[in-house]
Amino acid sequence: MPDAIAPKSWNSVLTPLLARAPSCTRLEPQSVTGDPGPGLAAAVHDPLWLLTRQWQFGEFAGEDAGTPLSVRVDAETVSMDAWQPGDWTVDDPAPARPLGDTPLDVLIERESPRTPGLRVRAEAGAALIAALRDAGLNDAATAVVDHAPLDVEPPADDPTSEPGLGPAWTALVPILRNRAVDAHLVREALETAAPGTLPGWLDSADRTAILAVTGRWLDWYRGELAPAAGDSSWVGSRLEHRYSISVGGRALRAPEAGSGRADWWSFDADSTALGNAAAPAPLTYRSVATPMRFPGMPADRFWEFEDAHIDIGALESDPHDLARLLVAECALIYGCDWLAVPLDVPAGSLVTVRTVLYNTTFGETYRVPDVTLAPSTSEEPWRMYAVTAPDKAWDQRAATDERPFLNLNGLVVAPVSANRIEGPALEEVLFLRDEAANLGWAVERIVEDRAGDPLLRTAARHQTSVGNEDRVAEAELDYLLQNSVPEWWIPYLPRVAGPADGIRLELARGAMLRFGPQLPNGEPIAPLGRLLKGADHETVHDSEVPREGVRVQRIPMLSRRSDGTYDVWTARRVTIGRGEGRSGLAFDSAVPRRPAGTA
Amino acid sequence: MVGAFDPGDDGDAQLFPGVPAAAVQAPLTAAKSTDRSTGAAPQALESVAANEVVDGVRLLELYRDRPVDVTGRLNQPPGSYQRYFDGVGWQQPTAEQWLSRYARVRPAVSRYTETLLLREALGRRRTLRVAQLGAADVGTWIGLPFPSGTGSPTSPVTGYVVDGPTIPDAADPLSGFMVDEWSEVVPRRTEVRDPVSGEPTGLTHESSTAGMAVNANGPNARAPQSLLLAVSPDGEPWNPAKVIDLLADTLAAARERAVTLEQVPLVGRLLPATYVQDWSLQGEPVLDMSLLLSKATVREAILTHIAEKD
Repeated sequence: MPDAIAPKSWNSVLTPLLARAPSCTRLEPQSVTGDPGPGLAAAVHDPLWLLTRQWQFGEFAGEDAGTPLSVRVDAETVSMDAWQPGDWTVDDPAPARPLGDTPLDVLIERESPRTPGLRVRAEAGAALIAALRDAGLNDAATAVVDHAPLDVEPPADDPTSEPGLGPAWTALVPILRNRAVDAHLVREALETAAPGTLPGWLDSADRTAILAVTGRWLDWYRGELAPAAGDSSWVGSRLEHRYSISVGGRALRAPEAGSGRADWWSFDADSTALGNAAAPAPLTYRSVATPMRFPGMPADRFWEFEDAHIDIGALESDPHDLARLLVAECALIYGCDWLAVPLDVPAGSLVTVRTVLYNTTFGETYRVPDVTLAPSTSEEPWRMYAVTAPDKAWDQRAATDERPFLNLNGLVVAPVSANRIEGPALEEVLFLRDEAANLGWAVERIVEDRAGDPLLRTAARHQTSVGNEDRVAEAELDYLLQNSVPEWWIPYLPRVAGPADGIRLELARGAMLRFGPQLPNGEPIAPLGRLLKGADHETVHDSEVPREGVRVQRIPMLSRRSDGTYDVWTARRVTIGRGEGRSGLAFDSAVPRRPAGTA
Repeated sequence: MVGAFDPGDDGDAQLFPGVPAAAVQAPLTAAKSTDRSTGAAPQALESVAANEVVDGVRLLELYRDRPVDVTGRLNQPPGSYQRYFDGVGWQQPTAEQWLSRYARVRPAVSRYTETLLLREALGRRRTLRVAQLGAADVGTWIGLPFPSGTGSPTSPVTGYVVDGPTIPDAADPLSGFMVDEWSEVVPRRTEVRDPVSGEPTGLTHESSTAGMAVNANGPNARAPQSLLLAVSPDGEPWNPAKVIDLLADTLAAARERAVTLEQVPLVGRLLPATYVQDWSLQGEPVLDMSLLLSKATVREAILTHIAEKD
């Protein structure tokens, strides 16, 4: 039927057909998206899925490597045998002393003792009285109270040179007056008496019994509360400790030590001879291979929760922040495959590891190469953590190796105390710069009062300086030669140090003047604290007082040795200050006079 | 370290009526301090607490169910620790010296020794006693120097200094003020062994634990995170070949578990065979999925990870 299939009717049929092709829609599951969320959520679907993910992350990949089982370390230890207090660069450095049982930090930090404060003296005196009464020597106890009373009254002579008593001790004074015993006086009386005898006022028929008690008491008082003077490692002009220890006949120098808490990074190796060259002692150590773990370490398997406390991934670092990037990369990428080997070594030694071997479940033994020996170039191998030798002359391996060894090959284990209990700071001085006044200042914040307790300097006795006024009755401006600063601000004046050291700036301690009705010409204001009173800090290197300032504290310390005995000492500690200061000191000011009655 | 009230050895009335005169600190792990405001302390102490408790002095909770016989230890006759003190002298002054040593670094102890000083100045006697828990191998009171040859303790020790009289009845509840507590570490002494023979030399030295990190490239394989429960495929006993087959099958199944449609191009043309016709030759009404999707959904709501930029 050709007529029926006319071109026109073809169009009417085909147009809708071609415009809209016959089609079907297939429903497809979509398992891949650009959103990392579902993958990171790690939804668990079924046990097979757990295995699948492990397989995907390569946890089932077999490797031709055995699991490490045990580690053997062969090392040599050289004991530290001597130490040298103080600056070694001066013309006449202190001689080296043998290193005894006393921990190094105690030796370094212990400041030279002086007569203890009232509190210690009274408590030691009470201990003596109690001991005498325990022994039934009541008459002797009464005699001690009568003849060695504690002088609790404030000194009347010069109220401005002593810090006086803090509020806590002042409250005790009425009770202790005529009742407390001054241990210092008792000690002096006992020491002036001939050996085996007692002072006349203490002597009685019970002499032997009294001597037994006082002997023990004196040993304790002298040994612990009022020890003999030690060696000072404090370098006042640099506001730091300086000391050296000797190991193997060479010196390890510790410059810029804020405290005696020495660790390996405190030291620089030096070629100078110091102490005795002791032969190294071999040390062999075997242990089970323990994988190294550290906080924030990424887990090395997929199905494991990580510790969220430390997130190394969140470390913010700039592209030029190489050290931080290095830490993050080491921890995140190379953190696994490390074994931690604890090494029990004698305290106070230089440990040089010679060989490290580990064996595996496959029965193989591997020798771990020393990173410092790895490259074959003539350069010193790069090391991030090593005791450096600034003079490039420490050369332990010179005999066996042609290449000079510029770093100290070994781990320095300093003989420091294990656990220190620190008390509240007895004294605190803040060294700061004052660019407006072109001065340095030492601000006494806390001083030790007569009782030996810390006392806020603002609460200590001080006098307000009264200006020497000579007023003209009718004037609009007052001419002020100099305004005043608080008495606990001690000025340090910049000056050029002598040419012997080369040209450098130093800050020299000065004094503000105190004026008053009896002092028309003024008198210098002296510091009250022990830190600033002595000659220690008469001058301070300009470079040691940075913009952020320096805080120097005296802190009571206590630690125990391995035999249970105690070390009690007062340490000096240096920490960062809190920024620049502004004393407001001004000269030659013209101050508008305020009408009377206005604030 | 514990201090209690003045025992009043000359017959003074007790400060805390109704509460046995005692002071104790339970082992540090078990010690719980009771705040004044929580009111967990018994009535007698509560009334005292409001008036008598000095700042910085905390109340100890009462221990009715004591795991250790603390009372017994505190009630030991004075002579039982005397032997420790024989070498160093006198008992009470030694405890006092111990306190004055710590008074330098612990402000709370310093405040307490102040009261000892006042008590002595006023002619009253102090009643310090020492005790300790868990010290089998120390051979002395922990606050004293260790006897030569014993070395430092190998297990934790809790030492007490108690100020107060003996406790009348060990079964009675205990209460007291805890003045201060702290922990300290004593360095270890190790025996020096002969490097050649390995025999002990009789010498000891103080040891520190240093450490080193060793790079050891171990395998990265990890144990499967599933338990495989299988029955023998043919009812016969298992043999190694069957186990290996089972494991291989399981791992193969685990790999197949990860297969998705995108990864199977040929089969993916047919599967999944879920089709919806949206055109009918017969002109029947159909569901036009593409139209439905374009009308009924917002593309951004599905593809949330594609962010349109403004």
